[in-house]
Amino acid sequence: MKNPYDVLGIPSTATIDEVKDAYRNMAKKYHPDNYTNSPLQEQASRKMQEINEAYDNIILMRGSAGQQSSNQSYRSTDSTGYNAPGSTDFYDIRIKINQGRIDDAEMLLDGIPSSKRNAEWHFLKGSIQNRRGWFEEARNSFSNATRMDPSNVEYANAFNNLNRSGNGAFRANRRSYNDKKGCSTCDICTGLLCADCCCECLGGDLISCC
Amino acid sequence: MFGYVKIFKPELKIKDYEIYKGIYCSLCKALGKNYGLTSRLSLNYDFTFLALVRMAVNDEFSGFTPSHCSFNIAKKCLACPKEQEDINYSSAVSAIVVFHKIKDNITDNSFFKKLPFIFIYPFSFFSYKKATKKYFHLAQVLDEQMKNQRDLEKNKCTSIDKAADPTAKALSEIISHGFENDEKKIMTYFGYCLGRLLYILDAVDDLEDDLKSKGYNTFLLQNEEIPEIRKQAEMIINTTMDEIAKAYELLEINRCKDILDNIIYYGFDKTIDKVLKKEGCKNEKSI
Repeated sequence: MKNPYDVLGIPSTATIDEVKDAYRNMAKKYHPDNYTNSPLQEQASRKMQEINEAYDNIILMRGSAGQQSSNQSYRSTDSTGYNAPGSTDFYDIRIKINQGRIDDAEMLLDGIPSSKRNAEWHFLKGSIQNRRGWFEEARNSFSNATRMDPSNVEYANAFNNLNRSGNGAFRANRRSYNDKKGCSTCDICTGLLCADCCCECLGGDLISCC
Repeated sequence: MFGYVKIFKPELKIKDYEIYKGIYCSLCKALGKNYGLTSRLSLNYDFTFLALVRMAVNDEFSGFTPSHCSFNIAKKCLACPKEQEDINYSSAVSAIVVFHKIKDNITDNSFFKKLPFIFIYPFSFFSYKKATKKYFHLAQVLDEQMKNQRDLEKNKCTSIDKAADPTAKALSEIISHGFENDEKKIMTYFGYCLGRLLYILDAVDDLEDDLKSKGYNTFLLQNEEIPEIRKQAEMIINTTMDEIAKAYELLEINRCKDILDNIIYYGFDKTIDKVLKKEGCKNEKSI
């Protein structure tokens, strides 16, 4: 089994707060919702499991019996990613999509006559296109689905996810996650000021003008 | 289509920069050894990235040794030993891809513009044949996707997703070749989204030129207002880049993670902003 500290990307000397922060950041990144319509959903849920186990291990090792182990909301409730049930026409198609058999699913979907192509049809079409990497067509399909059934949360979430990533929200977030927690200019100045104070207390003078 | 995948030097540590240049230099040596002097002309940072990402994910790695430049003996560099398969693989991919590019340039350009490509064609063809012998299946996939790309352009395809698909599929095969199981799945999707991004960036970059020369450009077929196209393309590029990052984060990176992080989180950011004409870097010098 991998070292739990390596999984969370922290040193073994990290404080409990640092462990929790690292877990929170990793969980946000690999949350199952981020990979709902991705062909890498299975790999992502395995990664999430690894992160949850690592966090649980560290908490257990540090003997914090009263601590709640990994937040329930970060656990993937169903590894097959089964979505809310639709009509029986589309049940087979949903199963195939979740199994990654998107070409088969599309064949079944395209076999449905135009008169029966409701909101769910467009949503499933979008899911297939999304998994294939055709994001623009997926966005159009999800848009059709939400237009035809505005109250449906599943369709709205899929459409909103694509719009959010389209507006660059994830780009900005990812950059800040990966900025190394090194010294900022504030840290350097504060450090120097403190060092100067300590030095003066002991009779010396680090920075003559302060 | 080349030149979009590179580091953002200001945010890279010097030790990582030396390694990055070391891979570049190793690729230069491999090209010269495997495919002759003229093949070195195809050396670029895109194929350096290909070798880098594969070396990072692979279990085995033979390490770097101090060496010197083949053209300037006084200049020191790091180099991978000749047996490092990812460097040889990258040189083979370079031979195949560049051959197709030269063929396209000869078909598409006017007489004077295609002259230098006609001159280099026989050398490129020789390299292509040699690379194909070693990586037959890969060459077949690339040949097929290049043909699909030409057909789509001939039929004036208006869907950006469909138009980017052959390039995306080609890159997904290139990046994932030789991997298995989960790694293969992730590298395939990573390569697909990356190929898609490169196609779209190229299309946006060429908007002005294609408008003037009436060359094929999926975006121009729907709309001739370039600022509007850039706005629409920005959303598509952002979504694709997000998927690239999500796939990258699922990979088990065994080495050179800092260099890859730099390219994925900083390098692409800069490239995308430049292509969308957001921030200029005037008189940009080579890395």
